[in-house]
Amino acid sequence: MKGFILSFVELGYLTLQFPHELSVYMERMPKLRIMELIVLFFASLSFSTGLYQLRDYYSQFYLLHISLLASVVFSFLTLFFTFLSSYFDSSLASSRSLSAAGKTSSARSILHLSSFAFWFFHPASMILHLFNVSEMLLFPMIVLFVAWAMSIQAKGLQYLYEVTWRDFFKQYLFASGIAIAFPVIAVFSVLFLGVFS
Amino acid sequence: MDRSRLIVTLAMILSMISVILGFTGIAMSSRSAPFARASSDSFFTSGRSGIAVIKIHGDIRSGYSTGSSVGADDLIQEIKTARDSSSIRAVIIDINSPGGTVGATKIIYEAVKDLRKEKPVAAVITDIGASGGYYVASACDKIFAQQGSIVGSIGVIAFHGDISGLLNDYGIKISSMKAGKYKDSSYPFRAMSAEEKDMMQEIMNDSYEQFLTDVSEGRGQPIKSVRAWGEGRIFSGKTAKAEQMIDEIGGKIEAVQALKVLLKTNDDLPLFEKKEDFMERFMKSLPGLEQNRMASSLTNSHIYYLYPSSIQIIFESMQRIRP
Repeated sequence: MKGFILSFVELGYLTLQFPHELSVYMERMPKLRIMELIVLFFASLSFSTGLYQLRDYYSQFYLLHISLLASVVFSFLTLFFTFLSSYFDSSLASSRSLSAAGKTSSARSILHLSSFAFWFFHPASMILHLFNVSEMLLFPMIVLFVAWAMSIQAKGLQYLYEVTWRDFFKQYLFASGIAIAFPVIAVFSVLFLGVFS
Repeated sequence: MDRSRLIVTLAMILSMISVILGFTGIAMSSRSAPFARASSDSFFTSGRSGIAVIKIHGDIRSGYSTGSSVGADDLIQEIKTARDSSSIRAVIIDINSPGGTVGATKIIYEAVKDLRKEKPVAAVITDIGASGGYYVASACDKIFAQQGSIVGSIGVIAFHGDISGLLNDYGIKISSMKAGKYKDSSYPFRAMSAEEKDMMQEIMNDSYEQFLTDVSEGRGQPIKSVRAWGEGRIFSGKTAKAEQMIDEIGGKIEAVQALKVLLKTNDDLPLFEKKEDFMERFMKSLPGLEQNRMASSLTNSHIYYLYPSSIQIIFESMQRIRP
């Protein structure tokens, strides 16, 4: 247990300080999958609790709301990162060389670990709540955290696949666009069906 | 462990603790204080204890509140929460009501009286605090109203419609079978007999006397003075002040000052008021709820502590007699 905790702390340290070293370090990491799930779980919980922390008041339903939101965020991140890692792998295999492929598992781990950034969302929300304009600052704060997580992903994946920043962001934007397009198209299809039926 | 490792480790541990504390904090707060900051005070004052604002806007009824009326069950729950919450030091009852049903008004009066034993309570009448609205206000330590507010209307009212003429025009005859002479005393398909009117009058007189007694007790005035305010008279805030029906001309700001005096404090006391959460708003927005309430009005008394400006209640009362 002590070894697991120390490894976890080391993983957190590397993710936040030296994400480009993750691809090397992860290979020696035992129980990496469990650690990823812990990171994702706390990131989702921190994000959900942080959002509610900004409110002026609480009701009994909020515990259910927070739990549900945390579950949805957790599921979204897991699915989104799975999709993203598969997309990177397949697109790089087709555009560069097959040697770049076959790293889906490592890519997914880096993406999962990037959510370490969101561990600090709740403390940041508490600080934001000190100001009356917390609602106004919420959106920029989310953008900042996403940017932080993306920079971890970019550094980690850049070293894993040995791609340039430009290539990484191009692929990232494509993958994100496709992932977001699915539900948007689905919802609009239903709306159109509803309007014209 | 080098310095940067130590900092990152500490940050991770602190963030984990913060999330756990935040989650449990929300759980604790949701149980103890469902009141939100009413004013735009800074964060630094919101953490302190303050004054709860409980709204009585609309006609008073038994059951649960809807968009247009105040339900006694909801209001009593709110009063109990304010009473039990350690962060609430005093309460303002924000009244804008022409009154309502006799039973619901009396229950709320008693709840406010109980609250007054624990914490100072002030009533603030904005536009109208008449009949049942004034009844509830009289249970408070202090009553504030604006100069032009409508105050008073101490009295009892009931409505009885006789649509027998209308039914005759359409050739409809409705008869009732009863065991008990007065069983159909409020039957809307015939006029009330003199005896039935006397019986109803007796009930209303009892309710009226109860009203006078409670106002007398609440205001600490002899019943003789209260009787002089009665007979359904209405007063402007200015006259009501002269008659000692209210304590001061003013609104929430003046009420807060008065409560501070009662609390013997100079602390800055922010106002808190209950905000509806998503589920409550959702439930109230359900289209069937208003109709259900109309239907449930059949189970309400049709004797009111009401200033009869509320056309809705009169219509609803008439709806009871719809064939």
